Parts: sequence; C-alpha cells; structure tokens
Amino acid sequence: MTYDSHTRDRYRLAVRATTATVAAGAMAATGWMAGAAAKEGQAKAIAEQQAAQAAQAAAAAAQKPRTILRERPTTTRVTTRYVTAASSSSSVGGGGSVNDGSDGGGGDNGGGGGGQSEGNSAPAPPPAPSSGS
Amino acid sequence: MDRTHATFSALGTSVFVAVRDPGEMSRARQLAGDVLNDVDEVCSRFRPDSDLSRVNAHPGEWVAVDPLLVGATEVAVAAARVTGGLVHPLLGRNLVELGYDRDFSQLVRVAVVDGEVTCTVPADLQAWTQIQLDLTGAIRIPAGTSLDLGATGKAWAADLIATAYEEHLESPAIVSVGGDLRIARPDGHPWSVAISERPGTAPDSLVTLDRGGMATSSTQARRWAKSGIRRHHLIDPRTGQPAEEVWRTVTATGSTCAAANTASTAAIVLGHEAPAWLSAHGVTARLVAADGGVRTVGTWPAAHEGSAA
Repeated sequence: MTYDSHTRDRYRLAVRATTATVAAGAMAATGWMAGAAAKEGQAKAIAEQQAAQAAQAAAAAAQKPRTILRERPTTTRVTTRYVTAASSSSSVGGGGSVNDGSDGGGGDNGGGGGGQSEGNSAPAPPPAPSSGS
Repeated sequence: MDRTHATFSALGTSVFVAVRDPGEMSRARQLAGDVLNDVDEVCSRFRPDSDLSRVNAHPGEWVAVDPLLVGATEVAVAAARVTGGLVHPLLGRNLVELGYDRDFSQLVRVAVVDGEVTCTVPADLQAWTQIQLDLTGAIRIPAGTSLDLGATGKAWAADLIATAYEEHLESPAIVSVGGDLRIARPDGHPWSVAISERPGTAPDSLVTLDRGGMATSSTQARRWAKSGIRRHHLIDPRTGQPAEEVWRTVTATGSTCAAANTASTAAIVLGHEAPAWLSAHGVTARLVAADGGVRTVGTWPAAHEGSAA
C-alpha cells in the first residue's frame, strides 16, 4: 500500500475522530468521577478548595509590598509643583558668576555690591550669609 | 522704613531672606516660613512624628509618606549618584552612634555627650541604590539603614523656597537656609554674599553672585564631643567616621543650591582629591585648608585670598 495524499487525509481524519472520541470519553469519565466524588464527599471537596484558595491568597499577600500608612493626613502646603521644580537639577557645576565683593558699595552695612536696581530707593540688604552648616 | 531683608529661625538654624522690592518682603517671609514648616514636619530626623522618622522606624518596608519627603529623598539620591556615594543619604545610624542624636541646639547645650566611644562601621557605598521611591507618596529604605537628609536637606529647602518665589513674587529675591543660599528671579544684578565658617561669625570673604545657588560646608560648624573625642557632622561613608579635615571649609556654586551643596560636601569628604574632582565637574569653589590657607577652583576670584597647597 502506498502512502499518498488520500491515505494521509484518511489517516488525519481517523486520528481526529479517535482523539475526539477519547476526549469526549475522558470528559464524560471526569464528569462521572466528579459526580461520584461529590456524592461521596462534597463537604471534603469544598474544604479542600477553600484551603487551596486561602493558600493562594497568602502567597499573593507575601509578594505584594505592605505599605505602612501615615498616621496623620497630608497637611503640607508645599505643592507638588514646587517639589518637582526644585528637584529638577541634580548635576554639580554650572551656576552663577562669582566676583570679588569686597570693593563693591551699596550695602547698608558696607558689605558689598547689594545689587540695587536703578531707581529703587529702598536700602540694599546686607550680604546674604553662606556659612558652614 | 521699608525693609528689604528678614532673618528668622527654622530647621534649627538661621534663615535669611532678602528682596529687591520692599513691598514683597512680607510675602517672601511668609512663603519661606510656610515651606520650612512643612519641610520640618515631614523631613526632620529629630521629630518622632515626622514622615522621615516613620520611614526609619520601618526599614525594609514601604511606608506611605508626604510626596514632599519623596522629593527631598530624590535630591539626596541624586547627590549620591553624582558623587559615587560620598554624599550619602543613609548615614543616620552612623550619626546617632557618633552622638548626633538630637537637635543640634540641644547637643550644644549638653556640650559633652556621655557614653562609650563608638566605632561606627563604614557605610555600604552602594546602599543608596536600593532606596525605592514612589512619587505619589511612599518610600522604602534598605533593611538595617537609616535615612538622614542633613547633607542636602537645607540646600534643597532653599531651592524649594526659591521655586515658590519664582511663582509668587514679581521681583528678584535671595534666600539662605543655614548658609545654603539660592537666588530667585535673577535679573543680572549680583547679590552680595558674606562667606564664613560658622553662622554669626565675621565674614572671611565677600563676593557677589548673580544667579543659581551657593553653599558652604565646614567641619568648624556643628561640632560636639563624645567621651572626650571631638566630632563634626560631615561623615565619610568610606570610614563611617567624621571626614579627615584636609579642608575645614569649602564653598561651592551650582545651578541650584542642592547642586552647590553636593559639591561642597563631597569636597570635604574627598580631602586631597577635592580640587581635581571639583575642576573635573566644572565647579567654582573656594577651599580653606586646615591651616587656614585658601585655594580657589574654577572662576572663583582669587584676589585677597591666601594660598593653600
């Protein structure tokens, strides 16, 4: 007997039919067994199912990070907008121009440049402190 | 008389605010006070009810916090990243073991802290990489560590205030939080700055700054004694001990005050390597050696300064 395309197709159909039959039989058997088990010990099955669900929930809880909640409500007045903007630059370097201020004038304590705007009659503030902290 | 500046206390230190327009002085003072109140409530290591204290009470666990603390920690982590962990946000336990376990004003009153001489262990230089942040309001620090934002906190607060000024003031202003200062709404006219090693002492140098931030770190400030051994607050994470005093004071500039403070703190910790590191990172700085000699880096004006090797 040669193995041609017709033979091959018949073989496939036979395999499918057999598989379907076996699957249907298995399903029927499973249904019968489940029914039998239900009849024999339904309470036991429910208990086992509940135990399995509890174990699954415990495993999920262990994986999820537990967050400790704040004990007081958020009361800060600083907006997220400020926080985001103030955190925007992390690289060192850059910045402004530093110049010798010892020979400048205009401060109300003789302390340097002051940066007084023209036409503003207000006294210049004293130098801002940059001290070790 | 119209006032253009105000000084008040917050975060256990002195705060200076100055404005160009006297009409905005009251507003500037109020904004600074509000911001610093919030920062104190959320970020203080010495308040048991602060969000930071709650994070430290639960290392290894996620803790819900005000987004303000997440922002502060984000800046501290950025400082660690740019310095390879030399400016380290997880030195809280080292500081406590060395005796810095209360607000510094109380520490000064105690003068000498009782207790055994403690040898703290070096910090894990990479531990900061394990800090996890949820921008919506949660933080997790590694087990066995303690968060301390002392290295960057005041500078970041100055940046925060300046950000508020950018939005709510119409004229230039400058704020200094414990000597860490930041200019808001720069207009090209420089501000005068007095540099000193300790708050309230006569200035060692007078300069002007036209924009950005400036910060001074010094081993001469926040010193205490424990069991007869003098300590300062700038910890070298590589040893777990106060940094060797190659430079006793470093002043640096930056685009922000936090950036300036990161550079000045790193320079103290780096010691002999500091000038090269500062130059490599494009930082303009003034360094005072342990013997008082001065060295400048970048475009810092060298006039009237002594020299240091």
